[in-house]
Amino acid sequence: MNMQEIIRQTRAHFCLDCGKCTAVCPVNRFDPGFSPRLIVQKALSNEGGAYDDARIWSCVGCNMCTVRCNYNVSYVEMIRHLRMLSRENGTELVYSHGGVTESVMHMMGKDDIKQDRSGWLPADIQVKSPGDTAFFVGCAPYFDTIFKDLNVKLTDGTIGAMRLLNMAGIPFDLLDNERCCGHDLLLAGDSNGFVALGRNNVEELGARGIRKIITSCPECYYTLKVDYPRYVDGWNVEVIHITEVPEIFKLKGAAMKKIRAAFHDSCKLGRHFKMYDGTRNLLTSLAGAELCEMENNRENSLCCGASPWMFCGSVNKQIQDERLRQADATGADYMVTSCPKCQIHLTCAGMSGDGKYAGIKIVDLYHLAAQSLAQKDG
Amino acid sequence: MSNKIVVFSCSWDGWSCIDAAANAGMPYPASVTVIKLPCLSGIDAGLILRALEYGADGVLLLGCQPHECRHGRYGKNIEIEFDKARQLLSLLGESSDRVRLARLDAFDGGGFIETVKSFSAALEDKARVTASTGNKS
Repeated sequence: MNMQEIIRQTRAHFCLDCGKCTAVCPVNRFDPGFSPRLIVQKALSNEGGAYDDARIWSCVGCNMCTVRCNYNVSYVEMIRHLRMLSRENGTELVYSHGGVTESVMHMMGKDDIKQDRSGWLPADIQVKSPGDTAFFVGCAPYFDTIFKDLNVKLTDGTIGAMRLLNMAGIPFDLLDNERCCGHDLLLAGDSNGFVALGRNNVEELGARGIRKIITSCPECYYTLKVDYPRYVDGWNVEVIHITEVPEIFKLKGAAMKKIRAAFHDSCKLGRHFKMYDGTRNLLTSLAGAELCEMENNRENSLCCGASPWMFCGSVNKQIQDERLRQADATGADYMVTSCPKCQIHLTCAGMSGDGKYAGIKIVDLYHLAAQSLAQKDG
Repeated sequence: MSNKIVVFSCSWDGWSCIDAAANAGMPYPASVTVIKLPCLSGIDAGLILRALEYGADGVLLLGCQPHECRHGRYGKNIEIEFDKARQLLSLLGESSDRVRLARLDAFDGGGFIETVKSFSAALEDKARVTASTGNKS
C-alpha cells in the first residue's frame, strides 16, 4: 500500500494538528519525543519517509489517540501500515525476549507442523467433537513455557474460560493444530507471517467444519473479528467473545469471602471494542468480587505498556509502574485482567524495578470466576 | 553428512575444543556452522529457535563445565533456556532432540568431533524415522 492509500484509509487527511492524541498518549507521557500528531503530520507532508522514523516502533497500539480524536483518525492503523512499509524497506527489528515469540509464530506458520495442542488440557474439560463451534485457545500454552520464570500460568485463565462454557452448557470443539492468530506479527508489520498463520487457520477450521469461534483472549478476538476478514482469504467464521455468551451470566458463583478487585481493561476489548461491562459483570456477579476502579479506568484505562514483543524499555516500564501504582492505591486484594499479555507484562513489571509493587496479586478474570463456581459446586 | 548444525560455542573451553580439533587436523563436516559467544550464558531460547526457523536441522550448545565458567555464571541460565527451547519444540510438534547441550573440558578436540558426529547421526536417524512414519516428535 502506498502513502496516499494509507492516508485515505486511516482518515489522516482529517488531522487538524490539534495535538489531543499526543496529550493523551501514554508513551508521550514518559517519552516526550514520541508524538502521534507529528507522525501523522510527517506522513501527510510531501517529504514522505514517515516509515523511516524509528519512533513508529514505540507505539503500544493502545488506541487512546483515536478515541480522543474528533475526526476519528486511526493512528494505530497508520502506525501498522508504516511498520509494514518499513519492513518492506529492510528494517531489522529488536525483539524482546530474544525474539522467541516471533520465531514461535513463524514456525507455527509452516504448513507441515503438527503441534501438541492438548498436553496441558485437564481431563474434566468436556469437548464436543465434531461440532460447528470451536474455542480458540490462543498462545497461553506457549506463554506458560516462555514466561516460566515470571511464575505466571496463563493456561489457568484459558481453562477457567472453558470451565465457564462447560458449566453454562455451551458445547465447543478444540482445534488439534490451532495456529497463533498472528496479532503481534501484524502489529509488527510482518504481513507475510500473519497471512501464513491465517491461511493455516482457515484450512484447519474448514476441514473441521467450524462456523463459529468463541475466544477469551482480547487480542485473538480483535484479530479474528477485524483483521482476518480483510487480510485472510476465505475467512467466513462468526467470532464472539466469551462475555458475549449470555448463558455465562446466568451462572451463580459461591458466596465466597468478599474480595476486592481492581479491574484492568485490555486495550483491545476496551477502547477498540468498547466492551467494558461484560468483564465487570463477570467479576462482580460470578467471581463475587467488589469492584475497585482505578484512577484510569474504562475508556481512560492505562495500557499494560506492551508493544508486540518489541522494544520493551524504560518507557514501557514506567507505564507499567504507573498502572501498578494505580492498582495499589485502590487497596484491592487482586488486580484482575482478562488479557494474558496484560498479565505477563504487569507481573514482569511487579517483579522488576525496586520491588515496590511485588505484593500485588495479578490474576486472570476467567480463572477467578471459574474458581468461585467450583467452590460452590464443591 | 548433510545435516545443518549450528553450534553456539562459548569463547573459552567450548571454543578451545574447536580450536584444538582444527589444530590437530581433525575434520568436521562443512555443514557445521560455529557461532562464538563470549559466554554461553548469553544464549536465549529465541536465538536457538531462530537458528531452527532459518533452516538448521539441529542446534548444539557448547560450553565449559559449570564450575569452569570464567564469567561466574555457572551455566544456570543455559539450562533454563535449553529446557525452554526443548519444551517449545515439543509444543510445536518438533523433536526436542534437535537441541543438544554439551559441556567439554578445555582443549578436548576429540570430544568436540565425537559430539558433533553423534549429534548429526542422531538427527539423521530421526529424519529417517520421520520420513517413514510422519511423526516428528
